Amino acid sequence: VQKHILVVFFTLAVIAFSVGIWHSFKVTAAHQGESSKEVTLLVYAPTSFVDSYGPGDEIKKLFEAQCGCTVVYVDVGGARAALDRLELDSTKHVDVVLGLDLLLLRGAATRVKFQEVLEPKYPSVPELKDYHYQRFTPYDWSPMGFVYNTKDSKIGSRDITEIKSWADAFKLWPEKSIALEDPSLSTPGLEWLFWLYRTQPDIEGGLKALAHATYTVTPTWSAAYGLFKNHQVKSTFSYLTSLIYHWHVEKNHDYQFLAFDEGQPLQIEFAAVPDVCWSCDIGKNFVLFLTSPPIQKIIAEKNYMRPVTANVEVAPEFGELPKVKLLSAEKLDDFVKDQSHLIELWKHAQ
Amino acid sequence: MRNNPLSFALIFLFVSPFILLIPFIKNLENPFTSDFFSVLGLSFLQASLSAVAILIFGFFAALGLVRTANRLRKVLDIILLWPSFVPVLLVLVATLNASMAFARFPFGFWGVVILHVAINSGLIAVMIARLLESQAGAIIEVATIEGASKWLIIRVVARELILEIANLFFFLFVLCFTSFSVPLIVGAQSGRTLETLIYEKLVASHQAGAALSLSVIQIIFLLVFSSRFAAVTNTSTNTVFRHIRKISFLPALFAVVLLSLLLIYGATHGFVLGLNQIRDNQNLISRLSLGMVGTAFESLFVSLLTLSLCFAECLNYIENPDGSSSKFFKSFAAPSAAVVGLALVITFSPETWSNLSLTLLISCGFTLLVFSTLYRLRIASALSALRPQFETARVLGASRLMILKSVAAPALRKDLAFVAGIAAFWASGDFAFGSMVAGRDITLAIGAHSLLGGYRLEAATAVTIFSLFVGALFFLAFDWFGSSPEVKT
Repeated sequence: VQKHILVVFFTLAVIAFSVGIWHSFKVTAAHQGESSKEVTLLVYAPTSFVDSYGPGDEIKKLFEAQCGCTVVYVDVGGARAALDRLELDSTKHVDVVLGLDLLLLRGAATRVKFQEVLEPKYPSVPELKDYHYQRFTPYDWSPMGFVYNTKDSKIGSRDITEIKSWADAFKLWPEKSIALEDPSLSTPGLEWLFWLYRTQPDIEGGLKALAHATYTVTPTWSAAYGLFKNHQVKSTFSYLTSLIYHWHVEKNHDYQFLAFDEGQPLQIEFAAVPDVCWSCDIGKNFVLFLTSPPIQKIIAEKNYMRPVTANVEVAPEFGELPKVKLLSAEKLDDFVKDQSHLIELWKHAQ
Repeated sequence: MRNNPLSFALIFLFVSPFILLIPFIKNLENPFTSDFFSVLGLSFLQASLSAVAILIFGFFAALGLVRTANRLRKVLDIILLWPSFVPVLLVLVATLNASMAFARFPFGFWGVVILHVAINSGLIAVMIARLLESQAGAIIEVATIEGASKWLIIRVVARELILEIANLFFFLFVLCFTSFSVPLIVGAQSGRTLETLIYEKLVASHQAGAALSLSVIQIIFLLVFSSRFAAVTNTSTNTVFRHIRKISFLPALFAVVLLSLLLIYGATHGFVLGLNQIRDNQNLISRLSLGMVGTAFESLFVSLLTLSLCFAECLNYIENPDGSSSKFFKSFAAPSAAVVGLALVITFSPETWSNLSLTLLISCGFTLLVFSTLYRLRIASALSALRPQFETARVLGASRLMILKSVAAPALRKDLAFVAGIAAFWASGDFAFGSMVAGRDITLAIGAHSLLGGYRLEAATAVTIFSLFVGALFFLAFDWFGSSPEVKT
């Protein structure tokens, strides 16, 4: 019996293998055929943009319908990895880089050459008026801060909602009760470090107080958020728009956001066209395309971020988000210059 | 005896990721930064503690295993072995889910050690139980007749097996020293290892040169360390000894089995919710069907490549058992996954390749990462046991190919099938390396990794279970092949 099972299994494996090879050749041939007629637009994108729930697929279809090109996304994990690849191999062909965080822009501009892009045709939201650059175009954004679950908000006899500032947080947060992202590995990690730097006169003291409340530091935002969702921690550093996922998709309003009096940092994701592009003009059109209202709606509702273009109609839950004070771009350049030193300070505070 | 070109070709193949990367490195930065020595020390301590703890747990659980009857033993073997052979991703998710129900998982240094113990104790228990049965039976028999107490017999047996235990220690030390996903996700700052430092150099500091240097230092360190332990002995016998139950000790077995069962609970937690999330997304369903095919291909390619490398190394061993490649594989620790991934991406620019070609590239890289571990796990000792037969055949004038075909292949059939099955199983769950090279969801594990990057953790759990299912099918197929009765001797 075993012999027969083996024979059947290996026959099936050989058939599957042959079909796969044939299919691959067919796809490759078709791809080459397409390539001879059309241009390929190679886009480095973050995972959240291209995963099966992300906005990538829908945007690809809509753009391909108007550009006569084929959009190929490459999920490089994040903007840091994209910059590393471009810096290591300067002959690499990449047309668009997505997911460049505001705090990475200075480093990005010094490490990799980017081309100038056109000003978006659509009016921008007022919150982003200070964040317009010749080479980097914002396509989504969100304030950041601490997210909590109202069903798990008790801190002894008090409640997590009593936290209105860093000073309250340092006083009220119990030991090992929050999850943070590693600032040396993830951009949300850099965001909370900037927040602390921007608002605390004694950064070392702030880092020590925060270390006391930290349960663990994770390499990615998703790992920290997973711990929070699994009730391992009371709160985590995330996006204000994370609430949209829970409210809109899970229909769960238990998830809420702690607004601090000092104001919240904001993550802005930028798109850019590197100098090594082959389809540079199409790349620039793609970047502009991302700021058009219909695409902004798709990004907002699938990437769970706020639109950068004014007057975009999005899911009603966006209107229910708490109004928070935003930090200005002041001290941003100083932070970027001091970044390595601050990360060392944070490591010592652990 | 001389080394043949195949031997050098094999060594070259395994160090090729470094060679591929060198032209792209603009400056080889100094890797000895302020944190290098502290991280090296922490890695050493973590790997040593993990290996010792796994050996202690494994040894005592093995004492329980030798008592069990045949049928129960088979079931227990499966329960104990699964955490070692399922993808690390699944064990991580399972551990976090299981710990959620009982207690908070201790992240940091101790978290890394605990997770390594949870993953590997069962495997070591099964390996030590086999060692006890095959090599310590005679001593136990004599000691029992002489009237020695149970604990005295255990002490004598442990002393008798010291060389094998030292080899197991080295195997575990390398496994824990070079472990990447576990310290990256649960290590935080106190659990940093050399492997995560290499990753930090690549991702955070943008120092590819320093990452490359660190990776070379890690390999040299392990090669030097391993020279103390590389000896492999295998004088196994199939005789069954009646008094082996005399040394049985059940509590540790219960503990390790309980740990494995807890992980099974954790792995299935959230599965139904995940299925519902998948059902609601047509895009995800179509990606998963493609991912299923991709996973099957990757598993198949990796197992075939592993088998090919085993045969190649077998040919070398027949020619010269003390040759360079044989020594190399006994002590070589694969370069960092991040370094191999970067080397492949930079060299081949596979972004626009077809899915099948990409799968093949990932399979090649993944095989480079796992082969030396698999070789040490099973093939090294099996080849060592066959050495006298190879030498006799050589003296009688048989060619290398004839010895491979008529002696090695039939005798190693079970071992080869085992490593091919494990290679396929591991490949099915690879997400860290695959996602770095592929840049799109071409396998289920990469798809699960993408889902983990978003809000839908339950869907990721369900997809991971599917990938496990594909890997298990391959493992079972190879297991059938290895245990079919037509083995010629």
